[in-house]
Amino acid sequence: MSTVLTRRRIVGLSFAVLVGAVLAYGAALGPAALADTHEATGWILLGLCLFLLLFNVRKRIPAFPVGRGHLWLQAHVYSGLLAGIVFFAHSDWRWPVGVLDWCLWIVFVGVFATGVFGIVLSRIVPMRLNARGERVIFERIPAFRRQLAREIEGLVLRAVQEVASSTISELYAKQLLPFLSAPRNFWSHAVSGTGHRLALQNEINACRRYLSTEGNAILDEIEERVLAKDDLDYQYTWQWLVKGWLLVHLPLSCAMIPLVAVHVLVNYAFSLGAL
Amino acid sequence: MATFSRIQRPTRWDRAFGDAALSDDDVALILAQPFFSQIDASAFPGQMPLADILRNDSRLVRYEPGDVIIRRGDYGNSLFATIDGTVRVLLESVDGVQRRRPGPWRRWGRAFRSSFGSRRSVENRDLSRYEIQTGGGGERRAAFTRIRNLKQIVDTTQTVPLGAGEIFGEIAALTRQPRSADVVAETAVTVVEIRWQGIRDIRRFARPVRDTLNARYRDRTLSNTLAREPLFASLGAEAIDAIAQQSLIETYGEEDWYLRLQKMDLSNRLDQEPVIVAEDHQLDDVIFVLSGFGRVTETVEEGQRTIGYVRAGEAHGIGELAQDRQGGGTGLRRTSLRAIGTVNVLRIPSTLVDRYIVPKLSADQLRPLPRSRAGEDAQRRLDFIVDGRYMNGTATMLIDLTRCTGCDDCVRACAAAHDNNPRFVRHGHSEANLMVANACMHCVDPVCLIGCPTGAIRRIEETRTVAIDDAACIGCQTCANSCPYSNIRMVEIRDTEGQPVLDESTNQPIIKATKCDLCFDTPGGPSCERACPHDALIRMDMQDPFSLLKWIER
Repeated sequence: MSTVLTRRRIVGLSFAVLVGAVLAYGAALGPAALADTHEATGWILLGLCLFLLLFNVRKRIPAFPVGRGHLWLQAHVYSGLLAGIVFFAHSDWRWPVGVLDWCLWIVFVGVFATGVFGIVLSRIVPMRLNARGERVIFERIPAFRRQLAREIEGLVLRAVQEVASSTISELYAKQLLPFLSAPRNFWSHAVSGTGHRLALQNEINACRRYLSTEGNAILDEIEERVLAKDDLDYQYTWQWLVKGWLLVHLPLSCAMIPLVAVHVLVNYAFSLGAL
Repeated sequence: MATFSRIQRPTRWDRAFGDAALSDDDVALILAQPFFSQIDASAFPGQMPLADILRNDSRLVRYEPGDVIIRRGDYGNSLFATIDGTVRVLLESVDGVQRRRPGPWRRWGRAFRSSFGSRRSVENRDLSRYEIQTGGGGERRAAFTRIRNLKQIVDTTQTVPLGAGEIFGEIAALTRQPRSADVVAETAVTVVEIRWQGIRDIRRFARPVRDTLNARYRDRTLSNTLAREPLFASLGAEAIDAIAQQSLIETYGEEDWYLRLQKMDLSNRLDQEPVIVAEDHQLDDVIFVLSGFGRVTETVEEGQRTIGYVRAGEAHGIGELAQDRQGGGTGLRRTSLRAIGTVNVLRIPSTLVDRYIVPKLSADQLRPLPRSRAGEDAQRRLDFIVDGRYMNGTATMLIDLTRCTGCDDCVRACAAAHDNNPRFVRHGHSEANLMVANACMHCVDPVCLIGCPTGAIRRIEETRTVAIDDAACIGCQTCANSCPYSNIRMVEIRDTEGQPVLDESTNQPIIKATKCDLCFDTPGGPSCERACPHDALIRMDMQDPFSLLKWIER
């Protein structure tokens, strides 16, 4: 781990936790001093949420000199962590009461959890992508998959014509064709499992005893491409996760905006009524 | 039975330099000029007569007053000689000649349009920018740029007039260095322009021409070039002149290496790099690189290990010589130097080095190249950089694969800044965790500029960025074919309504060359680098090995 990055993480994390602890402690002391800290923590939370949303705004105006993306992400992550602490302090570390508060709580926790998931993902994905196969551009994966499928089909036809083997064509029809038609074994790849890969290799190796030397040579070439397709599926899975988690995080973040607005309005309406 | 198509075997002069080969009268006119009249035509071989070289490798061009003939910083591959009229060499940079970075208001305006404009269609162009602007008539369409206040420029800045019979542009054509000055037609002028292939052959067979060009290079350029280099900065004018006059100027490697780089076999790459100086040979001179790059190798068992590279402005053998003179050497070279691509070098005799340079060397100038903490990793990385010739880049896009998640924020940012079409591909050759993405590297030696018929692709003097003037690009693909790294792409353009633009005579799509321009016309600099949320992407000047190492090991 490089020293610069480690130092940056320690500083950011310490700052967020320290500030969060101070705010949480202040909020906890409020009732003892007969002060209502909910309004203050609420506005701090709203400010943090608006700042968190600015990260997405920055992504949409890349041509403006408004700070580098990695600094924005750092600020986003530690502000998000701080927002989590303030949120729970704001809700007195208790379960919410009422439908609106429950909705807000679920959405906020969803955003927070997917955010944490995203951070973890961004730390492990580079290692995973480097671990197997070549890094390929996500949008090109279907084209590579089709190319491999065409090559395997050509080898199977060659096996039928040159060595008159039906074993290979049966293997192709029953096992390989479904495997080649789409990305497969998503969840197995997501946990970096290799069971499905071994099973495929076993299926291929089981055919070898029925094949001549020439047939086995063709099967070797098929196996090489099958494993390449599996590597492609692996790349697809992890790159899909990188893009997919945002499909949850962003809509939830957007959904939070009207819920927060309603929450603020309702609280002020009731407090005005109380006055 | 197989059938064959039959054509005449292509030959060198199938395509003349001009629209057509010159007539006998034109050739006679050229041969009557002072520079050419000294040539002995009988020295040329029968299959390559002087008249045929001139007929096919030269063209007559007419310029009107104010037309820019040569632009400072451009890569030229031709020599000019005035036949009539006067041209002015502008020794200072003046407005109106150079392509400049847009001003701050225009940069902010572009940022606003790219951020908030339509994202629906790509490569839209305002077609009014393509209205044809030509210079005067004459034998050939002339300059694309004309300056109107030449008299004022002549009165207020330093210029040199060149009259009929003078030659200019020979240095850039022969050394592959950028043009060092602007040259503008002062009166209506006719010039003969000879492409470098023709100059090469004339030099080969006409000794007076060779001597004249070499003498002009030494007198006009070499001393000034050396005086600007750190190695010679502390020397006096007398010492620099002595070095310039008494050293050998040599060229190694193939001029058109860039056309073959991608097809080159890595396994025997060293065999294709000519040896400039060899290990274990007498240490009797120092090689100073004027342009290009050299690979430094040492023998390891039966092979050669790359231990570094030298670039323009650096000397090979100076440290060894200094150590040798201090009693720490054997008098023999410890390393070899090979030409990567085309290299122009100055071979400085050791007597001159001992007398003038060694006594003035500082500790910094003897400092060895940085070494990584991880020796084997560093060796592989060095091989990767030198074999791929990535050291050519001044803004190479490097991606740290231990940090890149493939989120494509860099690609989206680039697309947003460039007509909704990214100017790079987030993919490329990689070594361990270092990827060189397919993005223009803004090379030290931008071979893409060679052969551009309109000068549309050029360096911007202010930022040293290589950029394409879209209005001047005619879509000939010369630059895209020349880029050894495949970083220039041709795109079909659309009008502001999103409709495809076709050639009115052929109905073929109008295409334009596009590439990374480092977002020179937006206020913040490269969008890709600024957009990366994981600090995984950098535009690196590969001339600075210390920064590269620092970034890799951060």
